[in-house]
Amino acid sequence: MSGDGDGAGEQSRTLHVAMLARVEGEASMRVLVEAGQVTDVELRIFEPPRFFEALLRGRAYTEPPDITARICGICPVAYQMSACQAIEDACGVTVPEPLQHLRRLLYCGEWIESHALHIYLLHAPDFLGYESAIELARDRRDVVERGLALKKAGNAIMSTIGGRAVHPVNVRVGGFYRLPTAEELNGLRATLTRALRDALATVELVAGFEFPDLEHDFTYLSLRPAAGYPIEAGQVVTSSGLAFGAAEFDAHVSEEHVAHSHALHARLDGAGPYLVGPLARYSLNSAALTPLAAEAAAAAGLGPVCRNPFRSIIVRAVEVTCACEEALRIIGEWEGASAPSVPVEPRAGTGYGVTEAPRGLLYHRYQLAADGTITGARIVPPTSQNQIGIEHDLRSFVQARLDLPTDELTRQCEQAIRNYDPCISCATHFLDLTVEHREPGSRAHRQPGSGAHP
Amino acid sequence: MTGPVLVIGVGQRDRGDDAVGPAIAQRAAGLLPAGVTVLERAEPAALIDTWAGAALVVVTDAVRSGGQPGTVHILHACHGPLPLGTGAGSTHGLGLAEVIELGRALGRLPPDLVVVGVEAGQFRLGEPMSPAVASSVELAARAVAEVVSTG
Repeated sequence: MSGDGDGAGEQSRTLHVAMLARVEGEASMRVLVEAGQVTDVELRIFEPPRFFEALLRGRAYTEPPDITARICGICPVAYQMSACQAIEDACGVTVPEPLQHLRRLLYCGEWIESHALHIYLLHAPDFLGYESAIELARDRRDVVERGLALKKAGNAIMSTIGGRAVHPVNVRVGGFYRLPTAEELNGLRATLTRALRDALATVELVAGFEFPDLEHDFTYLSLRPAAGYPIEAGQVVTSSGLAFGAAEFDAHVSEEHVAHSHALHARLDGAGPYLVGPLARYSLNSAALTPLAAEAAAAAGLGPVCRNPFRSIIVRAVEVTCACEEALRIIGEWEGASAPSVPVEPRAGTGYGVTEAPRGLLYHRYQLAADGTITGARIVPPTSQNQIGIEHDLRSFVQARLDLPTDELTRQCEQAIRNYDPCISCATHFLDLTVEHREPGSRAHRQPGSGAHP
Repeated sequence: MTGPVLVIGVGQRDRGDDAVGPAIAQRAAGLLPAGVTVLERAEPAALIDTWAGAALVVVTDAVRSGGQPGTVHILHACHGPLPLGTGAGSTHGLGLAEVIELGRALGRLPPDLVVVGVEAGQFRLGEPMSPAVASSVELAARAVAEVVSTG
């Protein structure tokens, strides 16, 4: 992290927010300050799903689970699950219950892995006042080791069910290529029992952090299944009272191009911004949490609805607990399946899939020709749905902190953006933050971020 | 060298020069003696667990240090921090340099860890590797083989 300029007295300052490191120019944040008021916040993100939508056209209906898994190194299972669901929907196939349970189990692995990475290696250092997980590890080795152990437990599920921890290769339209043996599943029990203990300790740890006083009133949107906490299935519901199936997503959510961004901005029924992700899932489904997760949430003081984005770290820890309990339940109840997959014959039509990626709802839609060739694809990732919300959050957040020195403002902005765990691979890599100050009647002084947009 | 030897290619194949890590590992596989495990990882944070128990680990990755694209860097990570900032060229939450430092802080680096990197020019989605970077794959793969044979 670095800052140019020395703070409040100057006309313009540029903050390089290296929160996600690596490839510069793919994301930046610009804050416009006029006469001491933040008048605009623009988050610019480059969005790979558009590239993949084009790549998918002309490919076979069996290919989306493999191709879309490449969009994100952190949440490949989410892409695979939404893709499978959408293709199966287009072909009129419902996979049998045991295979659905196995999909939920695999997805639990990804939640544990992704949330543990975010909580311990990216977000906790912010709250504990460390520059990064490296400094945290030097002082609090036990804390970082616990995070890595949790992450490893998630990886163990993904390797066992998915065939590989990164980019699982065992997932196919109609189910899996191979079923895990009962022995393999039972082999996960000890790891997951330890992980559950670690998850509960995580809730306790993060509940003790200090949280800035910030609440938002955005509409929340998530899945809600007939029973249980939403992961791999369910109806779309909102805090404004809507409830609809995946096929109606397009009718309710419109995406619009905004000049400053490569990403499309999603709006719900043409109204204001909405949010997806842990806060939305929790607030719309807290009554459906697993027993220990519910207990931990109550002990952490979460209440049935959570509207402070900084407390999302507690919700993530509660969700890790929930995923560990669910994984143990599914393994405990596993009685095998008659076949690793069911046949899926192509037919002309459109199919829709929605699942809950760790960062929020992920929507896929595919149009198929009669022979199964993909003629159209649409992918709406969680981060682009949250983009307007992040901008709104940052607007009030920056306004209240304009007198901070550049470095400190940058650090706090990083922490605030991390509340949304923006998908590192599928939405943003390197964030240049430009704060532009304009005085009334003067010309703008602007120092844009250093990145060139592709 | 006694004990398991691992070669890990880090990077995303769809992202321009970020594909160089996996490409080097794949090419090196044909040059390495039997018994050396060659893996591919898209996410560096997974490395700390991946290399547990290995005696020698060679990680291949795209690198950004401001040098000429295609330049091959051979970096020994066990002697101290890599001379790389957070600009090292992989596309994920924690970069390779950060993961190595995290491993060091936790006492979880393998006894011998070498990074064979190729200076990258661009990470554009859907682009092939830059010609200068692609033409360095062979040289880098030979460097990996040499590290393994002399390790």
